[in-house]
Amino acid sequence: MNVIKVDDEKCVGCKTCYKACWLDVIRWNEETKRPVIAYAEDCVECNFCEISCPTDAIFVNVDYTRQFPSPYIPRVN
Amino acid sequence: MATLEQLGTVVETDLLVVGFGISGLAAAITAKEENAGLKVLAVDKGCVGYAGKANKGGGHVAFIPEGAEELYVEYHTKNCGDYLNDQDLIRKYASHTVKTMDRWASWGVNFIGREHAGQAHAVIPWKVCIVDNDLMIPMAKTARKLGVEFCEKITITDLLKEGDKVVGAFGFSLLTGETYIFKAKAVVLACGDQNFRIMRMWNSGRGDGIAAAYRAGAKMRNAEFGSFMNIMSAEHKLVAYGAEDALVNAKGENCSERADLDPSLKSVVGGVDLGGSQSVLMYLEVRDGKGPIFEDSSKNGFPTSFVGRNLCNLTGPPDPPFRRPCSEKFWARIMEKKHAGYRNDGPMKEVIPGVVGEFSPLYVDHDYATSVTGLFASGDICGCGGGWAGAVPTPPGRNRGSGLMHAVMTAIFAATSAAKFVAATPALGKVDADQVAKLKEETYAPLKRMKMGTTTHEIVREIGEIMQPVGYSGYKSADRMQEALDRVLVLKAKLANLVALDPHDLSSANECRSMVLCAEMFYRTSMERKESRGWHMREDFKTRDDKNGANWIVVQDKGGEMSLTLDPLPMDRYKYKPE
Ligand SMILES: Cc1cc2nc3c(=O)[nH]c(=O)nc-3n(C[C@H](O)[C@H](O)[C@H](O)COP(=O)(O)OP(=O)(O)OC[C@H]3O[C@@H](n4cnc5c(N)ncnc54)[C@H](O)[C@@H]3O)c2cc1C
Ligand code: SF4
Ligand code: SF4
Repeated sequence: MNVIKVDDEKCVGCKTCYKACWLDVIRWNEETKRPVIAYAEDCVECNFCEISCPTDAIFVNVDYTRQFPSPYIPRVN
Repeated sequence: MATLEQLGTVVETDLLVVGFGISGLAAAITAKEENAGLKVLAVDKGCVGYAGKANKGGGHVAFIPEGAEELYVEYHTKNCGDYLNDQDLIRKYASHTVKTMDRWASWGVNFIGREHAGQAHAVIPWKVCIVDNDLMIPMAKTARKLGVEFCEKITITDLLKEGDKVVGAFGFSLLTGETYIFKAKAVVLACGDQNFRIMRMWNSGRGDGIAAAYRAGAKMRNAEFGSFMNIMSAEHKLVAYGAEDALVNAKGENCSERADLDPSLKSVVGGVDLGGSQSVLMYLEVRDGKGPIFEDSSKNGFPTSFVGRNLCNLTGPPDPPFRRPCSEKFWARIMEKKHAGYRNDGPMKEVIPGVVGEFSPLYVDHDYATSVTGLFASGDICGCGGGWAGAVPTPPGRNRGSGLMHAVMTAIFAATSAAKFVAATPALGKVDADQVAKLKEETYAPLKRMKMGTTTHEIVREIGEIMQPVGYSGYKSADRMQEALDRVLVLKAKLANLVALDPHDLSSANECRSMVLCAEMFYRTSMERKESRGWHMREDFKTRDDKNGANWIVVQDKGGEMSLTLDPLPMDRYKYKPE
C-alpha cells in the first residue's frame, strides 16, 4: 500500500491536496486545517496532490509490489 | 409514508450535469452560454478543477484540418472502425474538431503548438497539439463566472423517473453519507466510462453512469469493444510508451512480429493504428512457453522521438514552444518514481498488457440524447455507444488525442440539446417518494449488513482477474468467455451480501455493482459477435463476417433480464462499404 506523508510543519493549510485528490484518498480536518490520509489503499500514485502542494509538504511513497491480476492466462481461485 | 424532504436533501435545478471532469465542465459552460437564464448544477465525487482524467493524461489534442475531413472519415471507417462506424456521426465529428478548439480556447484553454501542430498519423493529415494538464482550472473559473453551481464529493447512484422520463437523480455524500435528491428538467451524464480499476491512471472510470442509465432503461451498444489494452511495465504498472516496437521474449527473440499471426489481426488492430495485435502476440508467446516478455529499452526510439520528447515529455524538458509547466512537473514526478521502481538498471524491462477498458456503451443519437427522454450524455461514457468510431474503444488506441476532443465536442452537442429540451419543459417533473425510499433502502443496504459479508476489495480484485487476462478479454473464444461470464455471475450473486464500512466504502459498493454489470454486458455481447472485427478479436472466428456482422448489438434491461438485439447498419446508404 502507498504511504502518503504530510509534514505538518511545512503545511500551510491551503486545502489544495484535498481538492486535487480525485479518488477521495485525502480528507480535510476542519479543526486542525490539515489533510487527513483517509483511504491510502485507494491511492494510485498519480502524484497530483504532491505536485499541487505549494510548500512540498506532502509526499507519496509508492508501493510497487502490489498484486496485479494475471495478465495473460486466467488465474482460477 | 415519508416525504421527499424526510428522505434526504432536495435540490432543484433546470439542468443537472453528473460528473465535472472535462466533459461535464464543458457541458455546464455550454448550457449557460446557450441559455444564461438556466439554472445549471454539476455534481461529482471529486472537486472542481481537478476531478476526472483530463489532468492525468498526455494532454494531446488531435484535430482534423479543414479540407481533410472526408479523408479522415474514409480512413477511419476502413482501418480503425472496421466498417462498424456510424458514418454520418463520424462525418459530424470530423467537421467539428477545429470549431470545438475555437470555442474551447474561449474558455481560457491554451493550445500549445497549434500553429506548429505535429503529424499525429503516418498516413492521413491528422494533427496534434497540446494543452497543459491544469486546463480544467481556467475552465472551472469560466463556469463559475457564468453562474454554474457545483456540488462536490457526491456520488450519483441512480436516475429518478416519472413514467418514461428522467426527472432527476439520487445520490449521497461521500463525506457524511447524507442522501441527496436532485430534481431537474434534464440530466447530462458526463461521468466517464468503465476501466474496471485495473490501470492506475484510469482509476476513476468505474461505470456508475453506465449502470444508472441501464437501470433507467437506456439503450447500450458496442459493449463488446470495451477491453482496450496498453503495454505497461510489469515492475511499476505504468504505461511503457513505445515498448510495442521493441518486444523480446524470454528466449531473447524479437517478438514485435510473429509470422503465424493471423493477417486479419494485422490489418485492423495492428500497424500504425491501434497497437492491439501486440497484446495478442504477447499472449501467444507466453502460451507457447516463451514468456515473460521484455521491452529492450535500448531499442525503443519513442522517448527521444519528436512526440516522445515534445508532446509526451518522456526525457526531460521539451523544445520550445512545447513547454507546459504543470504537465512537465506531473510527468517528471511520475518518471522519477518510476525509475526508482525498477528492479535493476539493465535495458531489459518486463512488460505486460494492461487492460484500460474504455468500456463506454451508452447509446446516444446524433444530438447526444440517450434513448430515455430527458437524459443526455457526453464524453467517455458514450465513446462506443455513440457509434462514430465503430469497432474500437475510443479514444482509438495509439491514435492518441481524441479523448479530450471527444469529451469537449460531445459536451457541446449534448448541452446544446439539453438546454433546448429544458427551455421547452415548463416545470420540474414529479419525483415519487416511494421510488426514492426504495432506492435508499437498496443503496444503503451494504452499510447495514453484518460484517462477515463480501467486501468491496474482494469484488474489485476478482473483477480484475475476470477482465484483465488477455485469454479472456483480449483474444476471445467461446469457451474462455463462458468461463469468464460464469465467474461474473458468481460475483453478481455475491453482491447481495456486500458490506460497506462507511460512505466512501458505500460508494465503492455501488461501483462494484456497476463493474459487475459492465463485465456481464461485455462478455454477453462479445459472445454474441461471432466474428473478428476491429478491437474484438476471436480465436474461434478469425475473420470479419460482412454478411452477418454488419449489425450493432444493442443491450437493454427488459424486466430485469439483459436483452440483446441486432440493429442492422444502414450500409446501403453509407459511402464506404466493405469490398
Ligand atoms: C493516463 C491517461 C492519458 C490520457 N491521455 C490523453 C491524451 O493525451 N489526449 C487525449 O485526448 N485524451 C487522453 N486521455 C483520455 C482523456 O483524458 C479522457 O478521454 C477525458 O478526460 C474524458 O473526460 P470525461 O469528462 O468524459 O470523463 P472523466 O474525466 O472520467 O470524468 C468523469 C467524472 O465523473 C465523475 N463521476 C463518476 N461517477 C460519478 C458518480 N456516480 N457521481 C458523480 N460523479 C461521478 C468522476 O469523478 C469524474 O470526475 C488520457 C487518459 C488517461 C487516463
Ligand atoms: S497520488 Fe493521486 S490518488 Fe494518491 S493521494 Fe495523491 S492525488 Fe490522490
Ligand atoms: S497542499 Fe500542501 S500546504 Fe496545502 S494543505 Fe495540502 S499539504 Fe498542506
